[in-house]
Amino acid sequence: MMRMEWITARSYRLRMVLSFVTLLLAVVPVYFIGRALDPTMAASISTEGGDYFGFLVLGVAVVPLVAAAAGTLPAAIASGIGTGTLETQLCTPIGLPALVAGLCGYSLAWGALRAALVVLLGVALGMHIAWSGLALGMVIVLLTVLAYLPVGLVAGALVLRFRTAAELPKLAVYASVFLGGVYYPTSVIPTWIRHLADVVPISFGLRALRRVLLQDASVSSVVGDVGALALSVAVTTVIGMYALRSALRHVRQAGTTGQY
Amino acid sequence: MVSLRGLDKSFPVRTGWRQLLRLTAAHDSLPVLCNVTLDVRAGEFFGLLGPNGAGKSTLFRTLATLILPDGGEVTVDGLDVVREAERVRRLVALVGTDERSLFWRATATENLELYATLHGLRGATARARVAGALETVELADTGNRMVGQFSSGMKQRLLIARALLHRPRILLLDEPTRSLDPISARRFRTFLRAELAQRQRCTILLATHNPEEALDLCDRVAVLHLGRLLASGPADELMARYGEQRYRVGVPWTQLPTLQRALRTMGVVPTELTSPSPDRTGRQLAEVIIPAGEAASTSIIRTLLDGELDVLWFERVGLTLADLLERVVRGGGAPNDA
Repeated sequence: MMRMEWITARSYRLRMVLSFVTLLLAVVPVYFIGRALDPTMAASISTEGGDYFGFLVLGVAVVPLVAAAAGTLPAAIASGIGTGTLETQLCTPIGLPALVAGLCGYSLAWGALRAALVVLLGVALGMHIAWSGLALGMVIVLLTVLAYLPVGLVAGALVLRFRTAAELPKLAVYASVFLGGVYYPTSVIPTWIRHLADVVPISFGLRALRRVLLQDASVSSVVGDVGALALSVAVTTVIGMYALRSALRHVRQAGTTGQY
Repeated sequence: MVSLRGLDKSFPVRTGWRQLLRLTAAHDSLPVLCNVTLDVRAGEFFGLLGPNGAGKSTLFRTLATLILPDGGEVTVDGLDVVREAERVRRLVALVGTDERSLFWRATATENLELYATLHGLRGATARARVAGALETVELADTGNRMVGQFSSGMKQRLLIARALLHRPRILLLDEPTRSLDPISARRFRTFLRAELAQRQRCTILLATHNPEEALDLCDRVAVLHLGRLLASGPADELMARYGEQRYRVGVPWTQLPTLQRALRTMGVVPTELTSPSPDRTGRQLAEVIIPAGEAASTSIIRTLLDGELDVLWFERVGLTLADLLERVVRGGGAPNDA
């Protein structure tokens, strides 16, 4: 299914070229903003690398991946219902986890490639990376992405059940950008709302990622954040899969797998 | 091979805002299949005949595990479609007419490779199956063309190829000729009979609203109407019982009394008589419809021509679904042999 998505995506050549151009256009302003605000922000981000440009680059790289994790599945299900491909896939013996992986795989892989390019562009523009922490950094990014996949599972269930995701993925991503320390550290958020940031998975993910990649922190120093992320993944994935299975059962009962 | 015992299915009726705001727990439901019982034997070409809304697609989608039955028991090769759905999916293939379910920006081969993978086929086996399926539907030469460039007939054949990939034992064909022109439809029927039924020895269930298609192609036919099985049996028996042949005879309006007299002499009672209608030259014409078998029709036309009638046309009236349903209902339904 990932291959089919790739085949379809590459057939729209102009769109593919433009997606790389926009990537470039997105990183350059980040460079100027990062450099301009670095003196102001350095103190408040001292525990997350101390370099505001690097801080921003990692935030900008991870957000589209998180958005893909939350938004791809409901979009794919809605499209599959509209075209009839979902029904044909449900007629095959493929299991639900494999179906979910197939429907989301391409977007996540494409998002990961774009995130890697953003980081490489950042490095080219002077961002310092602790390459020794790359493997751990990738694990943290994977866990962060997986932490948002359940949002997609629940949104996918909503699409199956009500034909709308009720803007759930967008809400999750906007809330995460606002509260999760993407463009600024969570320490600058007003105290009364900061407690909410403590339950947003991207807060843990970005904090750990920045420590590992920008500060060369050891595994032990991020074990708390990684553990919280892993726990969040475990609990919410079970809930998300339950929601999706229930919705599938409902549409099979109602006979609406092909109705849009 | 396929067994349905007292299959019931209702769908909830969509509630309006007013009803929704009343927050009533009770929901109206629309019965779609009512106590349907039938058996399809291995290797059989079985027709499911009925008008739109008869429940044909719901029955097929139940067999394909896309819909859960409300009551009754549905098994495919002894496997329950609810409890053993995954195993049933390995045996069954549903072929609809929805061309959009193909990936139009990918080639035919790429489309089939995807579904081969979804059916657990890998590597050389998958490639061989894809090539074989394309060969079967005579699309081997166009395997590398984008599906978006295919004609409707080619897409329909590609849908069949997709269904054949995992070598299903049962093919569910849901109105496969609906979007085809008459010539393509005829070729497609020949293909179904010769290739799928005779060569591949698939058990085929064909849903159609075309009685001639069902009675012509299928070994046995079931007539479904408003979710109920009205009749089922061997196609030739149903044809003999309900498929009474009729002929349309056209003569100049002035010769109508002579025609009626001639028919009366032969003991033929016209079922319909149309009002006079003018031809291109303004001459008024009359048309009567008479019941007759193939042999009788030959002697009737000979007698009419010998009687110096100016017979303008004498043609067979196709069997319509409405006629068939009317006859089945009037006849109280055939004994259900399924």
